[in-house]
Amino acid sequence: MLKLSKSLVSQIPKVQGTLGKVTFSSSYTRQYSVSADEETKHFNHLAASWWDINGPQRILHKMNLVRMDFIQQNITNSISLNDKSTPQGEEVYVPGYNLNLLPKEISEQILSDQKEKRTKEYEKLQLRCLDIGCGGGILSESLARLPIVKSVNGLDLASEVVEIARKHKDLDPIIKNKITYELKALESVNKDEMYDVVTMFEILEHVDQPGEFLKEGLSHLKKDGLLFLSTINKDFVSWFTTIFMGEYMLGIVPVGTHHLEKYIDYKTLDNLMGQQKRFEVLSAKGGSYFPCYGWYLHSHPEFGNYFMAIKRIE
Amino acid sequence: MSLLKNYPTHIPIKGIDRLIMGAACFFGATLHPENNNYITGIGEITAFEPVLTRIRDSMLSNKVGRQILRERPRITSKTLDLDYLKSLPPDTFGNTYYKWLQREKVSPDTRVPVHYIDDEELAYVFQRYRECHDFHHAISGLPIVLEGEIAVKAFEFANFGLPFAGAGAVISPFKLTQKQRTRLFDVYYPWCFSNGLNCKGLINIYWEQQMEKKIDELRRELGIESPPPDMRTLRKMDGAKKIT
Amino acid sequence: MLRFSIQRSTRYFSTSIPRQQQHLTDVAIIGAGPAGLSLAAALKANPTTKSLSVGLIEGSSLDPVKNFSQSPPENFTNRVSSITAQSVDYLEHIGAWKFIDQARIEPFDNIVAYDGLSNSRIEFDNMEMGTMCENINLQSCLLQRIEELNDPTLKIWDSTKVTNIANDTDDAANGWPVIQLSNGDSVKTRLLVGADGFNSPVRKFAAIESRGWAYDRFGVVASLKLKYEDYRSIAWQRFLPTGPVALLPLPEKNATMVWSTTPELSKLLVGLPEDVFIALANCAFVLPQVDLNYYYTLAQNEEYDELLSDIKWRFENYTSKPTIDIEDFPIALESVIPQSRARFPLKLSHADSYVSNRVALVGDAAHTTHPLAGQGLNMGQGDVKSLVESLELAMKRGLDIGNLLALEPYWAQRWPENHVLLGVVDKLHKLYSIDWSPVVAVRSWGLDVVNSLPMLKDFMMKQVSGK
Repeated sequence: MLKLSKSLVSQIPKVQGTLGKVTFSSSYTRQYSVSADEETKHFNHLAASWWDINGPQRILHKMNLVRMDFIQQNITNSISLNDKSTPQGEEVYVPGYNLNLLPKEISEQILSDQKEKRTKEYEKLQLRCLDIGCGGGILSESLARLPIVKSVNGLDLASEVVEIARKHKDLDPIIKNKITYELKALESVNKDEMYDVVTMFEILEHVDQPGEFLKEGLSHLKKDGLLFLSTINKDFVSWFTTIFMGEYMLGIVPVGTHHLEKYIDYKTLDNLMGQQKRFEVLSAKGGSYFPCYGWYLHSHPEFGNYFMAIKRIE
Repeated sequence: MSLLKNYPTHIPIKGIDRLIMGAACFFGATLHPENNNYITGIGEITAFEPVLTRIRDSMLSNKVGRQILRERPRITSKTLDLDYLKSLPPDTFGNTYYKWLQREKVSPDTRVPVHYIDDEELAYVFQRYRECHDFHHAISGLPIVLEGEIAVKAFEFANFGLPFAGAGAVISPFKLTQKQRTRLFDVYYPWCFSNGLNCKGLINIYWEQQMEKKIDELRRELGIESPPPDMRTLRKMDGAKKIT
Repeated sequence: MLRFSIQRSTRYFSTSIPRQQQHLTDVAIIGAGPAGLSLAAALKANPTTKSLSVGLIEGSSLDPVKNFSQSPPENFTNRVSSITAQSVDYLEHIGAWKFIDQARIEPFDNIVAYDGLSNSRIEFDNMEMGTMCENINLQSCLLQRIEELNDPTLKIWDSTKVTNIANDTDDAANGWPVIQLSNGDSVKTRLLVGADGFNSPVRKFAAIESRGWAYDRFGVVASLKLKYEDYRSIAWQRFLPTGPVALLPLPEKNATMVWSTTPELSKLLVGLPEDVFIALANCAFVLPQVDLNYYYTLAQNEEYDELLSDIKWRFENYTSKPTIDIEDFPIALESVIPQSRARFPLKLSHADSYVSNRVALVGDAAHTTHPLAGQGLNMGQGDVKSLVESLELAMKRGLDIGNLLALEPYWAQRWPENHVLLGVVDKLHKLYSIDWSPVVAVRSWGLDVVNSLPMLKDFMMKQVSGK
């Protein structure tokens, strides 16, 4: 009990003092008490129970549901209704003002036209996806099952977990041939491998250099491609929910999954992206977990867990 | 609250009027017991609907009772052929009844029609009860002196459960002499209650069709023991004055 | 020598019998009743779920259902249900309602429920609270919708029984259910849906417990003709101590009856000569309990002539009382369609869970109830709607539809709703089974009070019609 409280005490965040500015040009190294090897070992231990939806990874399975909702929403929203290839006369009308200014029947007609066009364009999609830190493949499999996804490449560094992922995908005939898992680091991915969708869920808080890591991921996006990430703010709320309640009190997540010092604030990442001209943040949402209910996305990404969708516009 | 007549002799009264009527009849009965109308009035007003409904329902559950409700027989000197009854053998019910009528010097026509019961079917049930009263006397052999009436009322209360009958059995004994009262309680009441409670429902008996039957056989069928000692004889032995 | 001849015979054997096929489906539905057919049609009508391959397996032949649309029988069948407005909306939404045989359905605007012991009553009226529809008419419209959709990935096996259900591996968490059919084929499926009634083999396979009790009552159904057409469009229900008797309108002079009563009485009613049954049924809606009890005894003793003449007298006598208004009762029955009388046991049951790994239950497989509130079939339709929505969401999320994470939202939504409804119907049945007068008095007073409160009645009507 004493040991427990000591480690807890050491983790209570000091509110003052930041990590220092993170910019793309400088790659800085942080000194951590937890090394990359230890992280990998920790996840390898969890490999066997990864796919038990009532097991230690249940919270991840539940989070997958909102991840997919978030991804679908952003893909749908980023579909452009009219582009250079649309023939004249088939353009969908997108007024430059509030639709409510028009009579009800007309605005409803416009909306339904837009929806129809959007659905048509959506169904044409055939996305190539890269899932970084795929773990046991929870997200990879969900992506692969979508009819709009052509293929999924999953990367992870924990060998036993990747093995589990491979075994599991073979159980379902639909996805068996759509997913390829590789025991590989992001840096080892070929420079000219480009993807429509890149995902980095719950990975930034486990790497040593998150800024570089994100840059690396963005470099594999095709134009108009989307990068999705989720990670955790470094603040009291996160510590309380993810470490104190999540690991120690309720035991929802195995102890040692998260390390406060590696958390990154949303503000930090947002500032980063603000400096980039080629990329645009489409959406940022906060996520909260309610035991017995699941995850819920809301519009406050500044504390706790958060999700971001970034589009490459040039 | 409809004040229309549901049957020819119906006199509809409602609510507070009914209460006043009841009180008036009660005083009239105590002061002038010889006037039949007061007693019959109380009888009808105290025959509350649930009680009559229960009696009517017991008729509906019984084959003979249903037949009675269907055919609606009335007992008058016209419907009962008295000469025929006279001609029957002496141990038949019909003949016993005839002899009883003669002895008590009454006729089947002395029954007052029902006025104050609203439902027409329930009014008939009460009418039937009233008209069968004489048969109850005949089957039990009790005379129409006050003592006898009280005993029959007790008998009927045990069998039918009508409040008026019960009230009569309780209140009226105060008018008797001590000796009569003792005799009533010792001899007749036990007979009345045990037989009234144990015998078949008297309302479900089609008396008119039982005329030819031997009286002992009838009593056996109904579950009535042999009648109590003849009241008139006992009274003569007392030398008591006749009270009518 | 022996070995050679055996080899020979097996080779001969294998060439003369066709190879047994194993089919692979995303969704396998067992049972083609209203719930099963509805689910198949809804899945194929939904733009997201229509890409799922569906197999529908039914033990009896669907020919009567197919023939129904071409040449419907002259008389009404005796399995008729009341379809709530909400169910009709959903059937319209999936594109099936347009195929319903309109000439054989009867919407009703009023419900009259009255107490058999006290004659207190409650009357609801609202436009088209429910529609009386033969079950086979509903099945036929769903089948026609399926034919219209003409989807090659929907396969129906009728006259095919299920001989066995088992997982294809010992690893229960990862196994897919395999259904053995009586024609020798087998179906391996991602999701197995049990729409197979109260004794659901699918529920047994999933080892889901079902709790409840038998009511010691049977429902007697019959197809009837009234003396003349009732233009008032009323669904009648009289609560006798033995159970409610309901008269539900069908087009023109037709009607259907559901009489819930004791096992002995139900047997008696089904076996009576037709004219006696009709006379007794007429009494059941009008006469007091004391008369009915007497008539049951007469009927049991087979004294039919006495019974008929007594009924004639008593009906006349009772209905001519000044306190009785014949308008308060249903139109008198004239005749019963021969061989339309049947009885079935009534029970309450609710499965602990509607889902398990790769298994879902809908309709009677998940819950059964007393027919007095006309909710059983409608609860099944509600289940179908919720399940299709859950599967649609699961597909948008890329989940394996047989996974519990995909199925749990269905169970979480339907179980509490159904549980409440089952509870209410059960309590109503229990309340009206009592003939102890204080209870009768209080419930009658309560009913009269509710009858005079329009807002409360509006609320109840919304609940009953499902809107």
